[in-house]
Amino acid sequence: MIFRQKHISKLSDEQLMANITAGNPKAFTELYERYNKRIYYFFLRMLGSDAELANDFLQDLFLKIIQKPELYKPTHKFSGWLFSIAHNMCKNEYRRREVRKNFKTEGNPDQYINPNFQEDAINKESLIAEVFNELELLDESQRSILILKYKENFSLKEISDILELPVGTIKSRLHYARQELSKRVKQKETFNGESYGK
Amino acid sequence: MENKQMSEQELISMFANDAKGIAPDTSVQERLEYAYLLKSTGYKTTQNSFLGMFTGLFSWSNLPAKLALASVVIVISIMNFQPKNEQLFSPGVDTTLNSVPLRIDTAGMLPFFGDTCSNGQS
Repeated sequence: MIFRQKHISKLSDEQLMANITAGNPKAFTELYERYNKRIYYFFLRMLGSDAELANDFLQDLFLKIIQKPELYKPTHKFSGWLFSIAHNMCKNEYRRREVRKNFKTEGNPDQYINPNFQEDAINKESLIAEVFNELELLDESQRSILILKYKENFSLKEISDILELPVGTIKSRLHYARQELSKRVKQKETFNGESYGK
Repeated sequence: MENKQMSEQELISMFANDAKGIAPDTSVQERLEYAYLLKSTGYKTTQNSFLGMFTGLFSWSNLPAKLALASVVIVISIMNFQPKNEQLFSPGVDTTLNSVPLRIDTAGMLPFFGDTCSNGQS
């Protein structure tokens, strides 16, 4: 047992999944601790900085692993598989919102962004925070690509596997997302400079 | 100016510094662990398995400690070596099983050279 406890922290994600399938609760805790913050951040940024929704999505994602661990194929990289599920969950959420939007109103595209977040954004002083608030307004796939590339350090090939898009498409979307983000940052810098100048 | 892109390094550091201290609600973990506990009751029991012990025993981990333990056992075995004391053992010849006529009994020997009383030469 002593050997086993020491062993768990040294196991790869794929080996931990095998242990989870075999019913080892320590393996599950270890896996959750490895990924909870990363996945939570992903959901938070993808779902308009709604902390409650991000918590719910995180819980749902790990419940899927608990209920059907056999869905994971050991031949795949675990982190890629996990983020692909997270991305699909976000896509479904966007679709759901789109349906609701069509039912309710035709109008403000930012209506599903957390209202507290917009209020906060005005008071934010740091440029980084402002830029990330701008990130919420980017297209869903561009946001995913930026987070997966610059936060999670996935390669373009891995991102293409996660998002199920060709590498060329990922490249062009990444280019556009960077361009868009840079433009907004510059605008923000200019705006802040003018404001401070006054 | 507007078309100038941010460098990779700028973006990486920006994302690295974003929401550094954020963490999900701790109750999520508690709920998930409970859910896993319920689910895992249906799994094959592994608590009494010797797999962990054998895995540890035959792995390369803690090799110096294992070698030291094995050396101590060998040294004690050598020091504790006790050769058999031959003197304490009987030769193990059981004369009752001897099929040869009782030659040791001089009365049965012919001619009775051993018996000085009936020795005709004397």
